[in-house]
Amino acid sequence: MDAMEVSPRDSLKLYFSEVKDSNEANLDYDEEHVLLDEVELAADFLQKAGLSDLPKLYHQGKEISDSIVNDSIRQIHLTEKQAQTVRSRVRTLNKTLRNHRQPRRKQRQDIRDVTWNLETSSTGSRSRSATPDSLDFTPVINEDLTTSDEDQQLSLPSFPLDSTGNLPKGKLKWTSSEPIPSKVLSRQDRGDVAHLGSDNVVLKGYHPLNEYPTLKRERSGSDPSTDVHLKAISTQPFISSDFHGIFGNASNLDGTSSMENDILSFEGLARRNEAPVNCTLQLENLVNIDSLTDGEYQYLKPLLWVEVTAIFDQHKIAVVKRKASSKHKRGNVFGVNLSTLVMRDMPIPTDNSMVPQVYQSVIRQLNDRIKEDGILRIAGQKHKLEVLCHEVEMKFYNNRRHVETVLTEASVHDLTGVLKKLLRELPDPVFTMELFDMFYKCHSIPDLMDKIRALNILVLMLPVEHRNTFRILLQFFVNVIKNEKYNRMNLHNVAMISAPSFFPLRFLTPKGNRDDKQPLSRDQILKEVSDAAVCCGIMELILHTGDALWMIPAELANQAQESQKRAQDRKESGKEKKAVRVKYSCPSWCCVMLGVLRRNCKGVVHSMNQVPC
Amino acid sequence: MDGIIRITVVGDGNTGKTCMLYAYKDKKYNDHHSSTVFDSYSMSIEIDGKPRRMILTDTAGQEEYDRIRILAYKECDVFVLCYSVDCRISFLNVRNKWARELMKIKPNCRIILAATKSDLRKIYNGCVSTSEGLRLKKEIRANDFVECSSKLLLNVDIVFQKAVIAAIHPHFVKKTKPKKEECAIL
Repeated sequence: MDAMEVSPRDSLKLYFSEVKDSNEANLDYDEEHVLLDEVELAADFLQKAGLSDLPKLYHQGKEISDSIVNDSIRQIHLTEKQAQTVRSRVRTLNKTLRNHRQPRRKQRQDIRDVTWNLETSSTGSRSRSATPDSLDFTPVINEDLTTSDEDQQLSLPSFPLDSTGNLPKGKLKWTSSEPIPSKVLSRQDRGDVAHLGSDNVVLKGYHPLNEYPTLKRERSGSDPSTDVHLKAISTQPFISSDFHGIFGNASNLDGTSSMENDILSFEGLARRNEAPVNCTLQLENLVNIDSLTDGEYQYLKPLLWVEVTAIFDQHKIAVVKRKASSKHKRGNVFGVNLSTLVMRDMPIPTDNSMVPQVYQSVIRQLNDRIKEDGILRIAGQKHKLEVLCHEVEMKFYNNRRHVETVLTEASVHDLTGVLKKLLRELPDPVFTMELFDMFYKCHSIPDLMDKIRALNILVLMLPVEHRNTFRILLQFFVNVIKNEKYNRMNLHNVAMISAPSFFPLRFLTPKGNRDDKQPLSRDQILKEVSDAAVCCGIMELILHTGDALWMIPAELANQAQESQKRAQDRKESGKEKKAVRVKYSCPSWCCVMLGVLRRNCKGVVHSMNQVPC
Repeated sequence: MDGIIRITVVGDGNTGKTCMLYAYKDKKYNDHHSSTVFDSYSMSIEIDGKPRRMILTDTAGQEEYDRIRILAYKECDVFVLCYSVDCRISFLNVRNKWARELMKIKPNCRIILAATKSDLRKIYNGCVSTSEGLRLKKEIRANDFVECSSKLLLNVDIVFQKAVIAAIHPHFVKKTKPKKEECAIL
């Protein structure tokens, strides 16, 4: 109806505004990254876990049978928890395949189906009339019931849909391909929901309440005009380490009047998050990641990947994955990825720390002057900072000595400005686009020990340039905190200031949420503030844990060793088999081979001779 | 607006914004050094015998939190722009950074320029002088200029009184000279 009333002129106007919008969006979100959907995620996960055979089968359109899965799991030697994670991903793939084969029945919903649901949900007790139409649907219902039962048997604890409380009563009737669950969620999401509502997705391991951290404030009285002092909040004991405790659900927020929404406070949030952190990782007998060779790391990496996914699955946290942007800003030092910088350092080899020279120089200078009051916190002079950055940008690779002297002469606050600018402008943040969301979602892991463990594994999974750079940064921050007496920078201050450098807010707020023309909603500020609080909390935990994050958990190290051993055994036996096969297929060439072999290793040849030709 | 006066305090990190707010609302000096990201307080005040609600917003000085700070600008009536007299950099950044940022996002906004930590004049040499402050006030076209000290609880109330006056009398710009430190108590 509306479409008919739009005059050509209006539609042209609409078109232009749309074009303008999209152009602006392109400008603003140069670094917008593609989100993967669930199926891609599952395939990607299997690939990363070292089970590349399985997604290959999927791409060929074959279902992955349990026996194949079990075989591969045995090969890379996984624990039961890890194996479950793998199985749940395989199920996602299989389900997608099955749905592709019979798309009609599964994906489209009959309108009569909807009315049936409305009826039952509105009246509850009213029985539906036994018309032939509704009877037609009975088989569908049964089928859905069986599939979901099957899923629940095999998988992790079932998805806690009921916690939202306002689902339609006939919920079992909805097939998993229907976007109903996303309707229940509020619309101010971060775009995470879209892929859940899309086709063929198994809604496992998803916890909607944790997705929208919104703060539930405690008012000091029922009268809104009473003074709300933060003191009143902070004196209330808050012992629980559970982060969600402070977050109400999103609907709470919508219900409150604008008056009440006016009082926003990061500090209140942050203070409530302060959980006593007394768990630390045990450090005995652990291997530092740096002592691993590339070959060994190659076997560890799939395990890390499976393990961290298992932790997130266990707590039913869905993780969004972004693909790293391939766009590059032109620059020498600023806005250049860590790996590129390391490559650029190659011609003048100084060390093999895999940390870009710029970072090393700046941090070296800062470490010398660590006792300066308010280091990191006080801003440099804007104009001077610009000059300094320009100098570094233009001359770092041409005139290193000059830059070093400039850095030595610069004030501490200008130097911290340079460091923050370097980190802020990284196209691929220190935590990498790939793992970024996982780092962020660590906050919703309720168990503190698991949280630290997840962070530990995530740090180990970072690419070597990122990992080592992060390490010297972290050491610097810890050093600042150690000198708190002189510089008056405590753990909270450092975490608060460093958090945005590692969690750039531009990656946390999805496209479209930021529109300068429209008046900003309170919710948006609320969201940004609570996001900042979350990042700050994670940063505090990271700073607290410190160097222990670079230690490989003992059981994972063992697993990696074992799988390496197996792989080597396989390789050797593979070589032997190959040699034998060559002999069968090409006798004349093999004679030459035999001659060579006879000289080198007599045992092998002896056994080969016994094989009937 | 809806009868609520919204005042946002901005300025470089470590200029004493949070301390000033504490001094105003609790009437005491709080010597803690923790950074702020975003904080708001609600207070009720009486203007001409009528109760009004006032919301004070405390922001982060660090540029990392630019985004969140700018979100607070939209609904603000008066800005209290701070620099500290002992830190010349913060004084220079008022001109180069803060005034520009405010003008860009909210042209014609009302600004009270506040020089904090005025007690430190006695300790350090080379602090930013009152006349420099007045010159800056003219340059950035602030509505008023006040020097205050949260430690001595000096002139802090005046900062906010002037902010409220600027908010409720949009066309009335007070021309009287600010109370100078010399004639205060000592």
